[in-house]
Order: sequence, then structure tokens, then C-alpha cells
Amino acid sequence: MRVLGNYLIILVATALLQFILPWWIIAVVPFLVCLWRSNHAGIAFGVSMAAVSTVWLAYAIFIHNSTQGSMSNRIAELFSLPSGAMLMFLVTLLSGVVAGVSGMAGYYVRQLFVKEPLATRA
Amino acid sequence: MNYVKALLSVAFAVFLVYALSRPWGAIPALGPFISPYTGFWQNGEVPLSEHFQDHELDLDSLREGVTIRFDDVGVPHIFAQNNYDLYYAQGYVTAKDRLWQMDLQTRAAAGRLSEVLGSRTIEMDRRARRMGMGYGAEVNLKTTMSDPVSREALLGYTAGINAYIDQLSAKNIPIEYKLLGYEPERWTPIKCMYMLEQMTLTLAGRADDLAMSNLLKSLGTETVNDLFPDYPLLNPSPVIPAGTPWNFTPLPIPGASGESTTPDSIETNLAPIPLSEPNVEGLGSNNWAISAEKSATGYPILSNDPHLELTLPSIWYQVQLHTPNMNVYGVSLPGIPGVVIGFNQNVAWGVTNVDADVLDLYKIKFRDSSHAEYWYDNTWHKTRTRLEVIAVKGSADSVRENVVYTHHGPIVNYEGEKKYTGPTLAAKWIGHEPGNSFRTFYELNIARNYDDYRQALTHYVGPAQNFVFADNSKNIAITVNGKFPLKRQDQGKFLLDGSNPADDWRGWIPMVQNPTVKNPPRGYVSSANQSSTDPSYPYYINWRFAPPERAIRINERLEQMTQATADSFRVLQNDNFSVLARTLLPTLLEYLRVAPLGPNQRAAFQTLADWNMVNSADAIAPSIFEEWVGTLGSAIWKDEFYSDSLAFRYPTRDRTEYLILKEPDARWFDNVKTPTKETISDIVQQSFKAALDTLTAQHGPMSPAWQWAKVKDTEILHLSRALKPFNSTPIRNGGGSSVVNATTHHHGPSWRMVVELGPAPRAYGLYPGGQSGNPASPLYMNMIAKWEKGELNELLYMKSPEEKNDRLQSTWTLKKK
Repeated sequence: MRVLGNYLIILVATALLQFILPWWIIAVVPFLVCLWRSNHAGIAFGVSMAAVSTVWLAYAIFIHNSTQGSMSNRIAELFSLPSGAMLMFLVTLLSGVVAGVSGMAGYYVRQLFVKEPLATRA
Repeated sequence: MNYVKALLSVAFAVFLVYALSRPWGAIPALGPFISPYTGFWQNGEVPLSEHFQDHELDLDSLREGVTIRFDDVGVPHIFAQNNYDLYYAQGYVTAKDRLWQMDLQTRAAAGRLSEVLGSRTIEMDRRARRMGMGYGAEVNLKTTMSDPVSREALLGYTAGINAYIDQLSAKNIPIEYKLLGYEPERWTPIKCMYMLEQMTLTLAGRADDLAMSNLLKSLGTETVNDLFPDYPLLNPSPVIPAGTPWNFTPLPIPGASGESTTPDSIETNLAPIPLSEPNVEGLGSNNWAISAEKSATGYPILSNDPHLELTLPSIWYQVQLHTPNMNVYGVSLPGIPGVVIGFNQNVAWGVTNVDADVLDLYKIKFRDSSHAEYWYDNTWHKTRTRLEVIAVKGSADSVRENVVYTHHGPIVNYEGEKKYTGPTLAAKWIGHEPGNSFRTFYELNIARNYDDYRQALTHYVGPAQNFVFADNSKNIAITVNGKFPLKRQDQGKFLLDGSNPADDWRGWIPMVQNPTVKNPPRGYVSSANQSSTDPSYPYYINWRFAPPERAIRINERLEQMTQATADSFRVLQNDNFSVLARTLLPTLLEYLRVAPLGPNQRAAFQTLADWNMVNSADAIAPSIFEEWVGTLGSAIWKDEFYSDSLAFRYPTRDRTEYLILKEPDARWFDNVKTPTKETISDIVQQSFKAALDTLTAQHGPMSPAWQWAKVKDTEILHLSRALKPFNSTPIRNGGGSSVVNATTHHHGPSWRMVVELGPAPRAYGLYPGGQSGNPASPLYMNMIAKWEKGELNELLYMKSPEEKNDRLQSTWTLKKK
């Protein structure tokens, strides 16, 4: 449940905060959430990555479709990508790695302060 | 161990965020750029069917309300109650569509590109600074702001642009800012002046004085006078019809009566920093008007197609401006309030470039290396300096240069500086002359008749234009207009002596004496950048103009026209008949007829012999002919008129034609670099074969790949010249540098307009682009397809904001906050 909870918290928080804050809030939110409640490095990474890339990918797909790729296809061409779909991959990867690493960093910092028994994992 | 892991993971996260927040070379900061919240995604635009939306905007500093109706091509029709609001709204919508273009062009003019693009543009910026663009903009701003009407227009326009900029957030700035990694800055009135300076530089910023002086030294006076005449030797067809009387008493010309001027003697010198692009023959424009007697409508009809570099976004922006005192439609230049080419209820006007000799280079002798004093009129005079600071992105140090000003103008080249071994030169340039050219356009926008037109022209300084005019009182007119220095014949054809007062510009041709003609007996007026007048005009304007082929064709067609309509004009705008081919080809083919030709050469010869001399898109002959003529020109002149180290130039195209047709025994046909003595016949044959070899190397053996549209390969590039996906798709049309439809690789008709005057004006026009500067917009290049086919859009000339018309798509209401 904590995994799903973290996923939803990060997803909702980054989805909303990005309307008013710069892009790097996608690093801050997973870091704080995993600092607050996480108990495995790999899972902190995975959940953060999944949540943030869901947000970016979904929004990117939405804009791509509603604008019929009018800008995204040109940018794909500019970066010599074979198709607009590759941009989706890039969006997922970039946001996911930033969020994942930050979430993992949150977990490791948490470990400095909290000693949790292994049993409560996941 | 835990500490190490925590530290490393945090450090890695911070590093990632940092690395993605800054640009790497040409790659923009990827984090914000790829984010769907702030990045390029946000510049995507919905398709045309959903594009037009009504808006209500509450805006600062409006005086009353404004209504803007957008038509189906995205043209704003602006209805305001006063001039301030009118130009405010024009500034707002122009910024909405063209903000980055306005920024880039004014930065280029101000020499501020390096501030956002980095060190690669330093030399361009230095050129702009040394040319005194800032000085020119400042003196023009002072004059313009001293006129209340102009002041209000500039302030309103500026406020409107800034109102648009102020409501932008990081996510909706134009895509170019995101890619280049900088942000819009607020507009100021001087930027409008920079736009005018930029036009002056483009259209009146070329001088081949140095090349001419080098030729004088290399070849002698007699040869230079023979090969570089001041008036075309073949069918000159001047703008003001030959024989038109000059109804004025000319001023005496200082220095014309044998006052001691310094004959130019020139040190050998390398090419200076080029002041702008080299002279491109065929870059130019057409305009014309016919009288009521020749038209089917019983009123005059007027046409204009200015040829410039074709870019996306387009150089022009269509707009209709309406107040209780004004109702004008036409094209504006983003960055300048008002309409530059257009029509209103009563009049229509258009412009083509004159290319007057209004940039002269003076040799300067300094007392010492401090450049504090220069020799003039037998005594030392003090210079002034203007500190120019070029900020460079990515560098802590700015480039600083004290640009030195003499009374002639700024020093553009120094003896002994890098890559230059010539004399120190000062530039005397019309761009430094204070004036209020905006006022001319404003008065044309509200003109009611011929007298208003004449009055409007008196304010104009430069770049000099052939202003064609027609009105509802059935007048037609054309005026070669600008502020022209009063110079002796050929003063400034060669470098001038900066120490001799006799070489100064001493006064101006009175505006009322500028060449003009009203309602000539022939029933039409026209211009195509050719010679302004025949030699009977008492003043010197320039020695070289565009070759007259376009003018010849236009005049022949207009001469024959009766019962003309707007469509007759549209057809003429797209006319691809080559007068150059008609003049040269029969003679050239005669030389080939006797030549030993291989089978491929024979086939090419036959293609030319069968050609109707129309540069149409799918014909192969124009590809051969144009390549051949270019090769032939080089074959004749290159051996004596080109040097790797010296600035030289070839004789003009019309002089070359004369040489081929009338002087077949001239010594210039011999290539002095070979031991044999070539004749015209040898040169014609060799250049023909060489041209075919070039075409074969580039396009394979003769086949449909040689079709003119493919060889000419017209393409319209995004202003950055680097962002390929923002370019147009390839253009497949006819054209050529010497035909009326002067479409070439990168240049062509940048706006085509036809206006039928009358109780209700009917007008047609379009440009090869679209109203929007956003490459993702359905209105980015929506007019290109029609332009390519030579079609025109009817221009929607509205009378009131409530007007009903199926073409009107959306309404913006601007309210005072």
C-alpha cells in the first residue's frame, strides 16, 4: 500500500506543482516523499520514476494529440529523431531518471535518520 | 557507508538537475525544454478548424476600447477610436504573431546578436556598430519623437508590444527563444528606428566604391568609363519615361565646374569588411499603375511586388487599421507601426527600391594612432568617439570598441588592421541622416488624393523608393523619392578623398525636384529598379541600377494592355518571359551552330533553339540558358575583373550584353590567363560546354531532373537559417533573376498586391508565408501554395467592426483595465 500511496502522492503533487513551479520540482517532490516514507532504494527509485514519467508522458501525449504533432514532430526532426514517438521515449526516460535518482536519494538520506526493521518492507 | 550512499545519491540527483538546466552547445537546457509544462510542447497549435477563438482582454493604458476581427487567413482588422489605441493594438497583435522575428531583426540592426547567440556573431555585430546603426537610430528617434503624431504612434505601438510581452509566461514564449535559451526583452521606441535602419542597410547599404577604385587603378580611366557607363547602352527604359520634361530650375551643383577634386589614386588593398551582402543583380521589385482609360473598371489599377530574401516568418505582416480618420489595408513591417504598402478608400501606393548612391566611402588620414585628429581642409580636425560595447553570451568579457566619427561618418575600416591592407575609410551614409520616414507612411495611410501623396513624400529620407500611386480621381503617378545628396556626376562612384571639402556631400536635391511623373500620355507608370531617369535629369542619383529586362517586359505588356483588370496584373506579376534570352540567345546560338558538338551538346542546343524563352517551371531550356549566361559572364570577365586579394566587380549585365551583341571583336573575350587568343566564338562555345558539364555534375545527364523549378530550387528558409524543420517544403515554380516573376533560389516576390481603385476598392494579395511566426501554427505558411501557383487572395476591406462576412472568424475585444 505504501508503494501505491507514494506513487499517487508523487503523481498528484508533481502534476499540480509544475503548473506554478519550475521543472525541477519533479526532483524535489520524490526526494521529499521518499525522505518521509520509503524503505527500499530500488522501490523508491521505481515508484518515483513511474509516477513522474506517468505525468510527463500523459501530458505530452495529450498535447501531441490535440495539436496533431504540429510542434512535436518538427522538434523530433530537429533532433534527428526518427519519429515523434521517440520524443515520448525521451520524455519518459528523462523525467523518470531525474525523479528516480531523486527518490532514491531521499531514501538514502532517510537511512541516516531512521532505523526501520527489515520486516516492514513493502 | 550510509553517509557515502546518501551523499553520492544526492550529489547525482543535484548533478542531473543541474546538467538538464543548462544548455550544452547548440542543445538547449533539456529539462525545461522537454517538460510538457514549459517546453516545446506548449508551442504546439491546434488545427485550423479550432484555431480561431474569441477573446476579451483587459489591458493597461488603453484610452478607449478596440475591436479586432480576424479573417480566415489570420489578418487582424483593427477598429480603434484614436491613434494611440490603434497602434497599441497593432503592436499587440504583431507581437502575438511575430515577437521573435522583431527581436532578432532589431538585435541584428543594433549589433546585439552576440548577447544571445554567443561569439560566432561578434563580427556581424561589430559591422553593425561600425556602420553607425545605433547613431542613425538615435538621431532618427529624436526627429520622430519631436512630431506629436509620430510620437503617439511609437508610444502606442511600444505599449501594445509590451502589454503582450508582460502577459507571457515561460511556457508560451516563442519556440525560438526556448531553442536559443534566452527570453524576450521589453520593447522600446528606438527599436522601431532600428527596424528602419535595417531596411536602409538592406536596400541602400551597398557600395562598390572600393572595387571601382581598384579597377580604375588596374585598368585606367578610359577602360573603366567604357565598361562601367552611367546609363545602359541597350534599351534603358528608365522609371521616368525618357523625354518627360523637368519643370524646375535646377540648383547649381557644387564642384561641377572644375573645382579641384582629387583624382582617385589607390593603393592596392584587400577587400574591406563587407558592409553587407554583395550586389545581387535581379534582387529588386516591380510596381506599376495604369490609367482609367486602359482599365476595364474605368478607374486606375495598381500593382506592387517587392522582391526580397524570402524567409519564414515573412518579412511582411498584413493588417487593416481603422479609426474615425483612417481606413487602410496593406502590409506592415513587424517592428514599425502603420502600413508600408497598401490602399485605402481613395488611394493605393506601392514601392520598389531606387538603389541610389547614398553610401560613400572616404579615405581618412589620421594625425597619429590615437585617431583623435584627422586631416581635412588643410588642417587637423578633432574626431568624436562612440563607445560600443558588445556583450557576448557565455563570455565574461564584452567586446569594446571606440568607433571613431569624422564629419563624414564613422570609420568602418582601418589601415593595417587584420585581413585588410587598404586605406582607412569613413562611411557617409543616408542611414545617419535624421528624418521621420514613419510620417510618410502615416500620411499615405490617410491620403485622399494626389496632393496628399506628394505631401507625404516630403518627409521621407531613405532608403529611397520608387513610390507608385493611383487614386479615385483617376490620377496615376510615380516618384523616385528619398533624400538625395547633391553630388556632381559620379561623385562616389569611386572612393572619395576625406581631406578635400570638394568631395563632401554639400546639400540635397530639393524634394520637389525628385524625378516624378503624373498621368503620362502613355497611360501607365512603372518601375523595376532600373535607371531612374534618362541622362537629361540634372542631378546624379547613381551610375548603376538593376538591369532593365524586367522593366522592358513590364512596359511592353502594359503598352499593349487595354480593358485591363486585376487579373491582367496578376498574370503580369507571374510573367516568366525572359527578355535576356530574347536579346542574347539568337546571337549565342549562331556561334554554336558552327561548333563541333557532341550528341549531348547537340541535344541541349536543340532544346534551346526550340525554347519559347519562358522560364517556366517544367522547361529544361531555362536551366541551360541561365547556367550558360552565368558561366559566359565569368568566362569573359573573370581573367581581368577578379582577384583573390582585391575587391573587384564585373561590368553590369547590360554592358555585358552590349559587348556580346555589338562588340564581338573586343579584347575582353580573350582569356589572358591562356597562351592562345580566344575569340567570342571560342568563349561562347567553351562556356556552353562548361555550363552543360556543371549541370551534368549536379543533376546527372539531361533529363527531367534538369527542369527549371528543380535546378532553380527555390526554398524559403526560417530566419535562423539553421532550424531545418521550420523551412518551407520545396517550391516548384518558374521565375528567374531577369524576369518579372523574379523568383530565385532564396529571393523573390515577398508580397504581391493588386488594387482596383474605384468607389469601393477591390484588392488582392498574398505573400509566401503566413501571418503567424509559429512554425506549429496552421497559419505559418498557409499562403505559400497559392503564391507558388501565382494566385492571389482577395483582401477583405472592412468598413465597420460589425460587418458580416463569412471569412471573418473571430473577434478580440480589447478593454481598458
